[in-house]
Amino acid sequence: MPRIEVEKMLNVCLLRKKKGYSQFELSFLMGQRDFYVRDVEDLSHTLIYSVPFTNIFREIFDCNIQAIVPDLTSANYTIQISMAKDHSANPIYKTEKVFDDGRVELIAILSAEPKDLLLKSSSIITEQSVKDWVLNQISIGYFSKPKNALQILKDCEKELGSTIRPLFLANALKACNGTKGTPKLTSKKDGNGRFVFICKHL
Amino acid sequence: MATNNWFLFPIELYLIIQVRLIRLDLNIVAEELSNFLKKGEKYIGHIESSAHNSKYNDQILSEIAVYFSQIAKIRQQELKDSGDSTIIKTEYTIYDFYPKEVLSNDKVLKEIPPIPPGIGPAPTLNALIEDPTFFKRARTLNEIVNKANEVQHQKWEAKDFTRPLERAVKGKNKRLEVILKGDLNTYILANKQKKV
Repeated sequence: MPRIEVEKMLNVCLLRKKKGYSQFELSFLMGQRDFYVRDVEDLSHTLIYSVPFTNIFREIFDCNIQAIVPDLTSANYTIQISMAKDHSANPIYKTEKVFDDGRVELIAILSAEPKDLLLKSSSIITEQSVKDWVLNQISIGYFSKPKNALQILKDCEKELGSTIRPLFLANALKACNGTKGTPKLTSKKDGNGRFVFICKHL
Repeated sequence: MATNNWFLFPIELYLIIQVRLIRLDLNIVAEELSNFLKKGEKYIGHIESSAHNSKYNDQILSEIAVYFSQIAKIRQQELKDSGDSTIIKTEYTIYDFYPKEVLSNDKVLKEIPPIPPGIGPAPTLNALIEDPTFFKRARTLNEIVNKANEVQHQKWEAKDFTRPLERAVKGKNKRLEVILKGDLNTYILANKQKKV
């Protein structure tokens, strides 16, 4: 994998951890399959964040391009990656910056995260509040047009007046499967390759 | 023959247009940039063509920034040697290609303006040279100036094109040939480009 792609992945990893997003939560907001970010952060995979994701990351993290894409023309360090295996033989990667003057700085430890992981977050909104909001939105026709996860999250945060955990939203959307009296939301990929959610019948 | 319509994300299209703008401004031929990147001769041409689905990635953009810096330093020296005190940008990074604002994430038709609007006389001339039609027949300086003014809504004069034309008819990257017609110099695509 080219160095620029490794560094971009590390930058995104730091941004997501700072924001308190797990690998699954970021995949969900990107509109990708559940383990997309987990696979990008597994250095034995060749999957990378292509250019269009940079635009989406800027929306998710509200940051400039410099926070995501590294400028390697002025880099005074190299990236060192060492790998170990945990008790289940899953790879764990330690990534470090080795500066020209010999200093070594830890960047991040990368490993596969459980899908339901909740990282430290400042969000105070409960899962039930998010569920109620989704049900209400279905009843007022919000989902009559396809919406991607990031759009829904932003609308939900705006209305509830605080950040929400993407996992709560993902769970709330998934729970609307037409059983036990719940309305049915379906998800499919749109023409831009992102999962969108739509309610066809009310 | 049917041609395909290709759709790209706006950010992908923006990068292609931005790299092309700077390339034309620095008077870099597409093949020359392809060679620097150790790609096939048509690599950049395909990316800049709406008939192909090719696009840039960050690795290539990073290498292009390095090349643009190298060439910009040469252009700066050329200006200095000719007694021109103009200072041009000589350091490029990948950020020079990216937009400042977040763009839409809805795909758009891949359309590359053959002559980018709002650019100066030298890059306009370079774009006209790359246009498959304009220099197919010999053009007088007056015709070149008129055409450039027409497409860019400018009031440029012949002197604005003297140096870019000199550069186009000289050196290993010679792209135009001078043909004397009566008392007038005319300019036509050099042989290599006629084949394209």
